[in-house]
Amino acid sequence: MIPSEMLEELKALLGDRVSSAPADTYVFGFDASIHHHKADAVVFPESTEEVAEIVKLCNKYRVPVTPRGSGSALAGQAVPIKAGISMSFKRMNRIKEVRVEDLQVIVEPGVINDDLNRELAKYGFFYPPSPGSGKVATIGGMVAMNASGMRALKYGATRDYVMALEVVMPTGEIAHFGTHTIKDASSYQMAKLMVGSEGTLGIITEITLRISPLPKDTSIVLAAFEDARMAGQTISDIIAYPMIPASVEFMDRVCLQSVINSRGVDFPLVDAVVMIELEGTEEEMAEDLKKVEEIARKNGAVDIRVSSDPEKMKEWLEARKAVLPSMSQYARGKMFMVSLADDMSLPISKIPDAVYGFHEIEKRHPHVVLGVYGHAGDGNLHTIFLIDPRKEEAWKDAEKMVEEMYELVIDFGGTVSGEHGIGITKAPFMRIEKKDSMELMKRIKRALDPNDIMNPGKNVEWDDGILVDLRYPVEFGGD
Amino acid sequence: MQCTSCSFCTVTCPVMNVLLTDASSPRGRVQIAYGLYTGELEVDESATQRLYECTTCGMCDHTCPSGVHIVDVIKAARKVVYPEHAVEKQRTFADNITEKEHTYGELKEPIWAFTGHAPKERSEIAYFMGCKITAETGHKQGIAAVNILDRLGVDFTTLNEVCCGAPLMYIGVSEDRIRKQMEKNINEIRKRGVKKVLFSCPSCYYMFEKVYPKYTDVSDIEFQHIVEFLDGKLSPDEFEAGTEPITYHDPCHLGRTFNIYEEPRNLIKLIPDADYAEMEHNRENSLCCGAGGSLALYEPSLTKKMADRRVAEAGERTVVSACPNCVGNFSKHTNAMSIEELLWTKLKG
Ligand SMILES: Cc1cc2nc3c(=O)[nH]c(=O)nc-3n(C[C@H](O)[C@H](O)[C@H](O)COP(=O)(O)OP(=O)(O)OC[C@H]3O[C@@H](n4cnc5c(N)ncnc54)[C@H](O)[C@@H]3O)c2cc1C
Ligand code: SF4
Ligand code: SF4
Repeated sequence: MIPSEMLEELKALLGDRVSSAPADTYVFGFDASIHHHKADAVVFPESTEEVAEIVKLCNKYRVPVTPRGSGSALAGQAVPIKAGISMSFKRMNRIKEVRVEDLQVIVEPGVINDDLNRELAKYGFFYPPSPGSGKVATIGGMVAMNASGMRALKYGATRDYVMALEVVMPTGEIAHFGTHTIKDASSYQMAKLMVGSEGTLGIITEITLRISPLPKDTSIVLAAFEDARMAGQTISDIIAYPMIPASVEFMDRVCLQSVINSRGVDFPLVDAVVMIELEGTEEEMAEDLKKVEEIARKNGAVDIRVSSDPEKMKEWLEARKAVLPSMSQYARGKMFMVSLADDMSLPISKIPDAVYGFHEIEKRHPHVVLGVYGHAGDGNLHTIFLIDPRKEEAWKDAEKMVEEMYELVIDFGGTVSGEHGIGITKAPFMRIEKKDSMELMKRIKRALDPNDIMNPGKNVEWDDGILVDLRYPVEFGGD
Repeated sequence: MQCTSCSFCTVTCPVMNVLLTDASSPRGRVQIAYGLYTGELEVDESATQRLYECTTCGMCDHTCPSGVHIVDVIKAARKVVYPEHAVEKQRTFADNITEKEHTYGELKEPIWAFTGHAPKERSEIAYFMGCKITAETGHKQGIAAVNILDRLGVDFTTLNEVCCGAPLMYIGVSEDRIRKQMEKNINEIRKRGVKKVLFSCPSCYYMFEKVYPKYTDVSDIEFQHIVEFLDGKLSPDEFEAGTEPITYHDPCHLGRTFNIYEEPRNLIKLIPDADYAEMEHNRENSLCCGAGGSLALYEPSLTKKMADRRVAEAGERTVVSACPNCVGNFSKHTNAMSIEELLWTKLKG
């Protein structure tokens, strides 16, 4: 509970833009992860100054504050796990300046990725990181998560586009990091430190992003395989050719079935599909297309479909983006998608072995159905667990499976997150992967957030397992 | 649990886009319903408020990739909060329906009186007026509808109808009371040998087509919205050319529930040289007018804000729609008319 004096001070500052109503604080206890924890109060600031005042109050009363965009984080990052304040950026959603001549745009944190791209398209530009959740993800949330997506292979991640940030530090002062110039070699790259900090080092209140001109033409190739390993091999072969397509996506049978069920899309139902997005002039694309087809056929593709029709390509891309939330359609009413081991990144050449390895692990865990998909062209895989979340044994089985999978990822020289971040659910495995830098990272956290109020207890600070504060109706009887 | 909590529905909800809080998003409402079910939340003012701040417009169901029937969840949860926490206006409304036989209180005349069409003893086709037309919109939509049917030479009857029960369902009143409405209406329809019922109101149509069959077998009777019935029965040379600048607003149920998008547009385009343009959000992406789902009773100021957004999209154009609720709501803020009125005023002779 937060002290009543603090609530009064918040009300004096924000009027009706603060709520401690039970239904509201309950809802702000969820994100898209498996965890849930009620907030004590929810606030809706409208300016940087208000954010700073709220943070000062949090310091004064030693109350945790968790920033929140759209709450689409998959590992508990937006869940106020230590209660306190949930700070929503839904009211700070202005695109402040589009400066195409300086290749940049300045936005408030609550602007949604797709809304920004709709605006930039008017100028012939776009902001390339393209997460599957682009229609909901806020720019503040994307920066805090270093989000990326299908186009990371060619265009990079959010990190590569952040030029400058305005941040309310955990102690309440307002800091400006980075510059409005393309090049910047002026001291510590503090803006980059904030990228991916998951709301644990400060609250981002303004973002300057680099933008890119929209690509000329695009085509998509769908190559279908009856052997998922050969699909993985095709990806490595395309990159090694050498070719850097705009995106190379992988979907296995479980994912294909789910998205066909949910959207009726015309994907072939096979062991795996590789979806390759090509960009360039007509001649460039014709040449790349020929090569991609050749490589796919050599690796045993059973069906190859090509489209440059904008409507068809949109349908395929949207369907691919809908894989994750469509997964509960796979076995409707019996098994449900839970966000576990949702993300990992591997050296590109290890993709075929990793896909094979994950499914081998799955065979040892009868309570789990596994779906594998991802931006495989840049080595980023996502796995989706389908379980019956009402059953304790299903969770225990899944927990064991997550451990085995991340062990494999780390053995292959990979990392436990490519883009969805650490939060709570992946923290135990990051501890293993980054064992020699954990203490240093904790020191950074302590230095910037001496009162431990900024989204506390997560990421480098999480010291528990993964089956904690679950949002599902399951009781654990102990081991 | 079917809800993966992906948040995709939060950005398309017209209420969330006005109130800007996750608590008043579709996902928020599903979570509140879940909290009430598990006992983590108590039935209180805050849960009630969030559950009633919804027009049941169905945009969330349309958006959800996990196939969650969000509106059904919300309607079910409203039944839990209604007994203790409904506001006075909602109770009066519900009591009018079941005790005074009309949503808007006792009627001085029979429901069909203003049309001049007394119910026939027997007829294969019936026109079901709906409370909203009889009470609020100066009957214009109903009068235009019967005039068009007459002009087409359709042999139809009006009915001694009672409220279809839709408001009861939206408010969260017990099913028994809805069933009673259904029984009265179905008995009246059967008594007159009716095989097909036409509706001007998409909510009435929804009740007969989607809800009544859950309670009783009505497979011997066909239900149809009037725009579907009229589509193909009129021709351009029957109309005077030209209109004021108009646009068409897709009513939520007619569109997202029944996929009736082209029929009303076909009818409007019969008018030669109609000055017609679409709004930015149209067809399955149409924005709710704000009056649905009993929101106008619970929180009229929110209804107004939602209507304002839609009216801003329409600009100077007159909003034409195929729902008396939408037309009634828009009329408070801009020029609006029913599609029946538009057609009737443009038909020659
Ligand atoms: C279906 C689905 C698909 C997804 N696909 C992808 C994908 O392809 N790629 C990808 O990278 N991610 C993906 N995600 C994960 C998620 O959508 C992204 O991480 C997204 O960037 C989160 O944005 P948000 O606005 O929802 O942030 P939230 O979930 O609200 O918050 C995320 C984190 O950012 C912090 N935060 C939010 N705003 C601020 C701020 N202003 N200042 C400081 N910290 C802040 C929060 O405290 C939290 O730690 C997906 C999620 C879902 C549900
Ligand atoms: S039915 Fe409409 S108003 Fe209600 S939650 Fe869904 S989208 Fe929002
Ligand atoms: S109801 Fe559907 S769209 Fe909304 S959060 Fe749940 S799964 Fe996503």
